[in-house]
Amino acid sequence: MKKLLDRSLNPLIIYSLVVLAGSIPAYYLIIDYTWTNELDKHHSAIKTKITNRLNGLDASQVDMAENIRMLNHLEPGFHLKRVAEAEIAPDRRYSEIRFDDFMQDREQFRGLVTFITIHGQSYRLTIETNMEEVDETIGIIAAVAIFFLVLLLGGFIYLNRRTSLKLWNPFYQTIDQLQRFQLNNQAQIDFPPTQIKEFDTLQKSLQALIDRNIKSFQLQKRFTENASHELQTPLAIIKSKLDLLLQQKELTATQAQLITSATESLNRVAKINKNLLLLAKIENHQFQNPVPVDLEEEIHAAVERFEELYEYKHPEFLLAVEPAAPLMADPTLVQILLNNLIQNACKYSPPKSVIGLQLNNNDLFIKNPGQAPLIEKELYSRFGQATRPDSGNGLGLAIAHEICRYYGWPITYAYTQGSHVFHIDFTSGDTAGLE
Amino acid sequence: MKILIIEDELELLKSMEEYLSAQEYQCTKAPSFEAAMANIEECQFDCIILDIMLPDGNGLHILKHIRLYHPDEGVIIISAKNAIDDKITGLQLGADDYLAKPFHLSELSARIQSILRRRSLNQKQSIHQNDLEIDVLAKKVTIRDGELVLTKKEYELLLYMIQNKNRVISKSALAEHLSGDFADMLDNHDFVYAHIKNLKKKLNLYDYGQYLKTIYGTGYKWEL
Repeated sequence: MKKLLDRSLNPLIIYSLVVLAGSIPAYYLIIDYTWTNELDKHHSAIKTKITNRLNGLDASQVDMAENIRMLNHLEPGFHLKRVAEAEIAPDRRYSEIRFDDFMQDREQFRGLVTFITIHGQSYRLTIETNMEEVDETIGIIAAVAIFFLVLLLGGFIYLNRRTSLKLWNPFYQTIDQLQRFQLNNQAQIDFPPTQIKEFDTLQKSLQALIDRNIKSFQLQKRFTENASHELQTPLAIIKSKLDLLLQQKELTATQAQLITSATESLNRVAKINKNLLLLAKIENHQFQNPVPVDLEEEIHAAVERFEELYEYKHPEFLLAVEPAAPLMADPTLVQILLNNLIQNACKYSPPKSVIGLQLNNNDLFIKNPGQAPLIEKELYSRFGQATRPDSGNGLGLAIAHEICRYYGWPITYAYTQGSHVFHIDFTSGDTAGLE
Repeated sequence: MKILIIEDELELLKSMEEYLSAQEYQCTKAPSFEAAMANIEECQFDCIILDIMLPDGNGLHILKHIRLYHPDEGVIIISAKNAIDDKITGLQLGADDYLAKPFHLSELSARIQSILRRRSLNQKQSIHQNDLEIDVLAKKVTIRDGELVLTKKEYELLLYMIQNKNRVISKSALAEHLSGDFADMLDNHDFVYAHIKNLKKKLNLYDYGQYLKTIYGTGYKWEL
């Protein structure tokens, strides 16, 4: 994944590279052309000047041959040679690179070979000027181009970072807000104000989307609650009718069995309904009257309850419960939490199992033997264990988890030495659920 | 014993009336707030079954009225708002008991009897069944002067069966009754069977086992 700002810079960088790379041969050609052209004009001017000056000398008074010898000897890049009429050819201009004795290096020369007439005699004139070599010119141009490219890109990146960061700041803040948003926290989202039209539109659209989500989430919660409420009465009617049906005098065994099966299923529905209602109430923050709860006392009461209920399975409770500081919570929720976890331990243990409960410093451990570790991911999901034939309604742990979440008590599960261990840390609870 | 049933769901009202009439209660039906108030003004009841959610008025007003003018009448709230905190509100306002819908009729009957017994002027607080006597205060059962030592669950079971004598009680109803508010033993009938078996074994020592009958393997009945 790339960041947005880098993304917008990339094409700019590539385009600049291409343009600057293309500019190197262009610069070279232009410079080379101008220079060559200028030298050629210079050579032509020298030719005319030398012809005129030599013709201006009085041939009878000077030794022309001696003059030309002197000129050839003194003037660098200059050579005048008498030639026969037949050797005259059109002017020739050339560029060549060769080793130069004087410079002790390879040098490029621009030259002109032309023919002039002085006092009726034909001469071949060769003029050469040292110019910069092609490769060196290209090298220098490239170096300059690269220098400016680096300067340009550095500036681009710096300016882009500076202005874009400022420009996109509302966007990044919006992302940050969205990441922290949680639907079930019932907290509204607050976007930073912006003067940019597009961001404003984005924020308004998001706000509308979130508002709709919050609304539908609340509707869904309300629906669960209302549906559960509305179901109670028809369930009560069916239950009462089945009770009455069971009292009929002429009932056969088959009929009695049918009624019993129906009653059992009905009770399951009623229980699920009741638990869904409880979950909805916790999620809707309807338990808002925390009072000090004595954990030690509640644990003993719950253990006593299940000792009686599971008498036929002869569970052995191993208690290591120390007095704890009072817990600020709704006593009903604490009882439900303890009951669900202890019942869970009783229900899924083989007969005569040892069920351990340990409370010290507000750390509660509930331990029971088990064959294989449970899948933690599915542990607290609603109806997650519904595939087990003896699973009950699959909501017990979901409710326990929801209560812990509500009060901010971390609940963890571990499988150690053949035992399922649930751990609740009551100390780290915050007051989020108690507002 | 006279009972007023205030409930706007007619079918549920009929069911309660039918079950309780067979228990030899004299039942009056009130399907609305208005009918309830009229009946309360006119007659004296031993126990009032009150649905607090009525279409034409708040049942809690009826409760306040009863407590003000008829403090001797027992009140049991039945409500679809099955939250435990609603229960506390109801009890604080002076109801004797609270029963969440949906409930088994046998549970309602047992609760009514407990209220009537608590409110009765007869301070002995005991239930007699031939030679069997249950002292509900001490939670002690004696048969012909011999004490029948029961566990807490066996005691609850026996009391429930006797409170619903001659009625067939399904295993589910017993499981629900024994579970109480918090536990969830509905899927597990083993424990009902185990407790019934132990209770019957103990009753048999006094030749009382024959009263506790198994009906088609689906339910139980205390038959006289």
